[in-house]
Amino acid sequence: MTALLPETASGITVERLLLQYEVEQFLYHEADLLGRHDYDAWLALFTDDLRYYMPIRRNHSSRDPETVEHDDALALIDDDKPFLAERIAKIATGKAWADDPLPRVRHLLTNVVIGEEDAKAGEFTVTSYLLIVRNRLEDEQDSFVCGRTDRFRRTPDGLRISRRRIVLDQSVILSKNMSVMF
Amino acid sequence: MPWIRACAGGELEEGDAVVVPSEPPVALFHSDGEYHATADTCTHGQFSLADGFVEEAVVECALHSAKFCLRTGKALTLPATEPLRTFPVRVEDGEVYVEIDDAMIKEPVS
Amino acid sequence: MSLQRGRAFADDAETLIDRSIFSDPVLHRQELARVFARSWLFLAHESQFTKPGDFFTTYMGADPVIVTRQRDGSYKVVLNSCRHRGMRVCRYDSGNAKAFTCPYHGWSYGTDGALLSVPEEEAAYGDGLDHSAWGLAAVPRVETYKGLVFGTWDTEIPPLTEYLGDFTYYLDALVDLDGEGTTAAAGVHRWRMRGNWKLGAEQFAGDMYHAYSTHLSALIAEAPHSKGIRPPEEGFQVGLPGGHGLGGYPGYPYWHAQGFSAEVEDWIGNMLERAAERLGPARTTGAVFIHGTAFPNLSLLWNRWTLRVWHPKGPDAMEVHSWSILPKNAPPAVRRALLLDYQRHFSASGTWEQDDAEQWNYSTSGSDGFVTASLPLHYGMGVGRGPNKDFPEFPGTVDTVYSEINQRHFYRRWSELMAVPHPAEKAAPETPAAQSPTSETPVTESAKAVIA
Repeated sequence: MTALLPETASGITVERLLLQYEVEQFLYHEADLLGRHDYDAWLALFTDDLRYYMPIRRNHSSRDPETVEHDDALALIDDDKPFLAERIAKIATGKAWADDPLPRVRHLLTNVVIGEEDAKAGEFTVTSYLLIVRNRLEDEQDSFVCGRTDRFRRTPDGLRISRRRIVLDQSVILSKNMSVMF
Repeated sequence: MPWIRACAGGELEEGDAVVVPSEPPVALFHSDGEYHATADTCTHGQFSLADGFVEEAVVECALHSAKFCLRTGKALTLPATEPLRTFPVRVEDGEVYVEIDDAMIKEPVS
Repeated sequence: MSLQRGRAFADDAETLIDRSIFSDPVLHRQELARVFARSWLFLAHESQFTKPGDFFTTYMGADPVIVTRQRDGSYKVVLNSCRHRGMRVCRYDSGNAKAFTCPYHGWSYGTDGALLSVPEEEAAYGDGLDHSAWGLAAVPRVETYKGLVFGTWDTEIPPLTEYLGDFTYYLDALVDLDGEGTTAAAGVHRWRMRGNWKLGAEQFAGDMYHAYSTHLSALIAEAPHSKGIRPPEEGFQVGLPGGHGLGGYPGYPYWHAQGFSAEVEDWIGNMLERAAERLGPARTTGAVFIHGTAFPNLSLLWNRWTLRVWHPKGPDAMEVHSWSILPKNAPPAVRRALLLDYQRHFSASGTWEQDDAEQWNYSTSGSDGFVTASLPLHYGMGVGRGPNKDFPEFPGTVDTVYSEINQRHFYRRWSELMAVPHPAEKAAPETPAAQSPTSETPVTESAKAVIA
């Protein structure tokens, strides 16, 4: 008897489908935590050696690179886990005026694709598209559209993210601040 | 026909060009590991092609993006339609020479 | 009414500000002429340019400009607007160019603005187009101060160092500590905020008072690594002629409170000791400058190694451009630590900057309200107080740290400029006729500055 979802020439396996499901549910759960402003639980989804990075994008000739990424270059965000914890501690004071009252925010997620595996590191890459819509006070409405490249690591506590690279589809940031989590 | 010294071998980096002081001027390019010499003035817009963008033996004029093949001088895209004259190049004793017409000589050959 | 005379103040004692300076569209348009076209405006850091043809696009007020390094190492600044139909000739943030060609009809300009070539000129214009009159409008005065490039449309204004005056004494504590200069980290942060540009400029000129309230959440969040190091109680505000101002504290080891590694802390401490020998202790080990503004719209944070420009985007919005300015020869680990410290606390995602944005957004929203608009704002902190004698070496007028003396200075200078209409404001510009290029038809101020 053939399996319901036999292995095909394209390499799709049941195991791969299950992983896809697991990763998507993980990311939906993450989006849910952020929508509920449960930042402590959100931060726990990342490994301690996390690098969380968003480059500046430039309007440039096709001859020049769109981003400049090195240790002596500015980025829009370049955080480690301790600094993300500091951001969260700031919001937790209840006196972060830019987030008081807290915004209504929703993270819409699409195009979740599992990429390459790095067996030695025990990690694999996941890319996804993200649309964050943030509404606040009477008429503040911001949207942030980005692509994310995450490195997922299988740990004894389950999947965790060790690297997050966020590419925002803006050059000049069109919101008064970027206090959202991506 | 006289050979005029354009530059020292190794002086010109990949993708770079130098203008040979002749009348009209000639541009010497270093591209794709070879040297090429063409008329320096774009046949479209009167701009120095030595100031253009060079990639894979093609030069793109900085003014209106006309492209020319460095090997044959052929105009590859609009807005250029007329080809560039090309000039023979030789490397000897670590120096790069370009062969031009007598009538083009503006100053004594160095 | 005071605003019709161009005064920001609602009272003769100059302690109250008419809040319509933050929202009135007519004042905004006048300001673009009377303030921005009559001041030295910061453009870029020299380290952004390495080769001839390297360019950077930015704004002077609301005018888009291109700054290009020339072959002789000087800078030319030209208006980013084709003389034919106004199209932007350069839509890139930065790069390298040998020429700027307008994509609309193909007019080509050199990086110095000279009109080089016009397609089908013979058929289109015959010999009736005077190239020397139709290049890109060139900024007539461009000067640098220790790596900082400035430009001005004003042909009569004093030279940059005279304009900055004693502000340079303080500025040197950022750009000239060790005699080796600074370079900018690669990249510029740019973001848009609601609120008039002056809200940012005046805050950085004289507002230390807001720190513990606006930035309370950031301070609390940082406390774990601040090792209990806090600024002393007694600080200063310094106001300077020309509308410049800054504030800070007596020397305290701020760099030990910012979560740096021991290597970075040691380097900064040692560098300041060496700087004290070179520049004197008063402005190095003896003081920490925190915030400052060079009139009209260049602001600095010394202890975060950053400077920024507030660009007006209409009366109620601004676009900030912000740089990380670092000691050129600091070790890479030090530069990286300083760059991250600035970026994480200031910039669009910065923990301190986020809450400033909130205040500027909502300070002046509601200015439409009839009653709201009629109520002046209180700018009287420190009026009548004697000078602060604790900092005798500081040039300028020194007050204690909780004072609005610098904001009053800023608006005094603003009012001086706003009181005098710019000659080009009145008449619509008349352009030279295409048929008579040598006629003496009047041209706008900016067109006069075209490269011949």
